[in-house]
Amino acid sequence: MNMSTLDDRIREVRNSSEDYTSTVYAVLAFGAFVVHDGKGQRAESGFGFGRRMDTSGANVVLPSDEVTPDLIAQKSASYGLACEVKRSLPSDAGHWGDTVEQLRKYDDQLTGWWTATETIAVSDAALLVHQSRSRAFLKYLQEQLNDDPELLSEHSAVVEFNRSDEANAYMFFRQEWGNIHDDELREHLQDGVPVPIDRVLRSFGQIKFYDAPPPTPWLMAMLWTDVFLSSYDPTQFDEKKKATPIQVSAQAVTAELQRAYGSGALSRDERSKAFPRELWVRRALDAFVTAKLAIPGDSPDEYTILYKTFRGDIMARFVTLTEGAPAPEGNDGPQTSLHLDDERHE
Amino acid sequence: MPKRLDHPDDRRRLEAFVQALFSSSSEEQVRKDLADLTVPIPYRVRVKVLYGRAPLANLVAEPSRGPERLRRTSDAGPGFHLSGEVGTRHRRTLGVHFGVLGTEHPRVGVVASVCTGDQWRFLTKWIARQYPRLVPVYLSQSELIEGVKTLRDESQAFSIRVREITAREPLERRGRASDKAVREWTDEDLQEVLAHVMDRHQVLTNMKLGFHKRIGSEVDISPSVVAKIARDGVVEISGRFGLAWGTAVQHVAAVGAKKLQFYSRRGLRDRQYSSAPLEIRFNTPVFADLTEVRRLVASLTDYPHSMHSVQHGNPYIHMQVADVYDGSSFDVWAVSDRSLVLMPRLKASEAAFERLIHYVFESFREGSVVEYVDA
Repeated sequence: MNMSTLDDRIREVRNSSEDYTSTVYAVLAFGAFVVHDGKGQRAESGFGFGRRMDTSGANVVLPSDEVTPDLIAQKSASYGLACEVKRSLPSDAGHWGDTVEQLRKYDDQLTGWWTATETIAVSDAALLVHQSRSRAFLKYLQEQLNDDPELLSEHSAVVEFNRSDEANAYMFFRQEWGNIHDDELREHLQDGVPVPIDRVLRSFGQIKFYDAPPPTPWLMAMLWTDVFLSSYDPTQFDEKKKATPIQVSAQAVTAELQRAYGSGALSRDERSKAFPRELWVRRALDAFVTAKLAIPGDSPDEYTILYKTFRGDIMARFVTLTEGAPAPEGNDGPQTSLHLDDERHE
Repeated sequence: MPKRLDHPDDRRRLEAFVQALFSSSSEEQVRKDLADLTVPIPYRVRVKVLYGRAPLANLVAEPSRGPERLRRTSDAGPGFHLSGEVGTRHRRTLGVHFGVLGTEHPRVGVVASVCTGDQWRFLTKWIARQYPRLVPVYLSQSELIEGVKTLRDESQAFSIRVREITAREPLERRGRASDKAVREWTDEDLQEVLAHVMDRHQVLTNMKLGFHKRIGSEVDISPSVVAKIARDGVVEISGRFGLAWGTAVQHVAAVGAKKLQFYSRRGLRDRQYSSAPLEIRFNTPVFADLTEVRRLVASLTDYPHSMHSVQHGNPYIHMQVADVYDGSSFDVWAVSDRSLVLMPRLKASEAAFERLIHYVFESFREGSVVEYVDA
């Protein structure tokens, strides 16, 4: 691979990592906006990432089944939002129907809210879409609604979001289409509401994942500079391997990441999904094997990391070392994209 | 004024005496002997304040990094001898005797020596290589100034005058910002010196203080002790050691103990995975200027003995910075214009916090360190 292609890949991965982190903070910021009243947490409120919710028998897409919206945000015992978040959308608008279908799945009397009966009087299904795609998506949605006015009910909404590029960074949310059935939230969202990232960091600064796979080089950098580094003992340096071996298990690494940076660091109950998933961690560990920085162990769960310290940007290093291997898996997942169109970048 | 000691035989005799002094069976005796000692030029009594997770003498005695040879000079006493080769073109052997003394603070002690400047530099280079086993205590400018004010207020029997300051002063040359080192001799009251430092936007490196005995309203013209306090936790003493020990040294030790205690047990593993971030708060909106944002990112990417990954570098900062010395790791965020957040990850030792914060203060600018809590 020539240098300019490699530089492009590094830039792509850096952008997709930024997308991932931004999405995590967008979800947290929107959740915080719903459950906080500016002074403290509202009574009987809560939010969860990837929460398992039961659909009703009347669900038009998935009757009597289970869905896992990116965000369930409950403002009170009588109102809540089920949200899907799209920092990016496929460049081919032909695939945008899947996103509309997700919204239709959540436009239902879902069960799983934090109430005595697990149901809620009023709820809306909201798509949080990044500003760079919101107008194009709304145009597409309008065309679909022209063909089928019943496609979405009045309990659906599209909210665009954007991160401000200023020193005092914030997430900005504005309702662009549909209905929000809570007067207070609607009033704010129609005008647009900024949520300072500083406030999100203060409350949820350690959260790094949501229920979608991150770009693998980003996860590799995190494992290398945090999880493995904390076990690194230079006195164990192996002259033959020219590295310091560290034994790890995918299961144990996943459990610690969940506890420190994922689902375990948020309030949980039996409906909460665990993330990051072991599959994502295993992909990162396999990528280290490809980069000759790890050796698979006797069992599929075990790896020996061949640890060494690196100068320069770690994530760029891992892109360089893993090139030739399949592109990071985040790009084919339904929720994030590594292959970004130029037009997507503000 | 003690005579200058130049003859090699005289120097050998003095160093043999210093060895005997540090080989006393108790730290208390060493401090008493140091208090009675008249030290000839070019020798000085110097101490460096250090932090460790175990008694300092035990940590010093552990196998050390580097080619130097270290040995205990007595079975029960606090004395050590370090020797090795120095110089690049002209290699020569150097040795230095030192003692490890405790302070009022269990995890803070000092390495004390009676030595020349060359010997001291040799010793402090070796100490630097023992990080994170031995953690240097650094003083910020505000800690140095506040400390001197406290000493002035608490030492009613003495008038404290500033004899000398060493500082860095900002300089604009051909449109490029840089700084120059300045050394100024004064005989001024503290307030006057501080006003001068503020006026010229100087960043202090060290202050040399004269402690003048006061009887009633009269003040002795000769100082009882002159103590030079440097921001790297070094106190150089001329005159009454006991007075300097009870004031300047104990003060630096107290600042170090308080600060490292504040930085300790913040890693996620230490706290059942609950976050305990810190924030460096600046007086002015420094990150409103994109040049400053870029300058800090560039500076952090050059952080010695670290690995990093820049997640976002403009207009706000999000970086992962890992300390290769001891496996500590941080997320560094600047999402408001006057605050830098240090978010500890799985492991974050107090030593790594101290090193990173000191680096930001030295390479970027100084701020106050506070808990980053939900407002």
